[in-house]
Amino acid sequence: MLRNAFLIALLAFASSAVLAEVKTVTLSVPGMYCEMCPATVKKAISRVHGVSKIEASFKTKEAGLSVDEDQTNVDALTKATANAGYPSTPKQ
Amino acid sequence: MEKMLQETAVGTNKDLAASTGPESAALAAGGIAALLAGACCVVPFVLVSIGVGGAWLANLQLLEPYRPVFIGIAIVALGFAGKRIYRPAQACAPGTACAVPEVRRGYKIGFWMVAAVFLVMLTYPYYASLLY
Repeated sequence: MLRNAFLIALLAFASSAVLAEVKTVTLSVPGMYCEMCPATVKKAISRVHGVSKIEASFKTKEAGLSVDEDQTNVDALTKATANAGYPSTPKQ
Repeated sequence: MEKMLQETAVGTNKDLAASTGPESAALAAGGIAALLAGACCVVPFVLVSIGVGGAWLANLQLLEPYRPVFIGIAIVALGFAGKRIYRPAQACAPGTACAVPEVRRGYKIGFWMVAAVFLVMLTYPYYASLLY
């Protein structure tokens, strides 16, 4: 019984730790001037490890995504978009 | 007589590997113009998809204002090529590249391949939103 409680506590701790590592990032990508650009930006970002839920918008010229901070960082993201021809900056 | 004709045909076929008719030139021009028409937008997407990247891709955006020009060139080149490729065989001078059936088929395949690339490059504003 005590052991079970310990396990549950451990699990709860572990899952909260995992949740804490995932951060939402918004990148400003002013260079997305054409209808196809967000698709290219999304593709480029999706090749970075630890990124999920990417939404690129042609209208707002922004890309929102979830990032696992253990696996990657914002620098890797801006580098990825720049490598696709679209320099970006993180938005606070 | 028939044998001689066959030999001539084979001989022409061999020559064709090296020589190019106006159809090939028109198809090549059409293909290049089609790629340039999509250079700003579709080409980077394809390159990034297959893992080729680089900051130089940003330079392709400079071609975007000339898109209508490239589209026009592609249409003219494809029209010229199509007219020549789909005209009746009798219109070809005997012994020239365009009279050989294999060459005619090759041109037709080439024509539709270039036409398909052109359509992909031309219509991207309409299907782009499906990709993100």
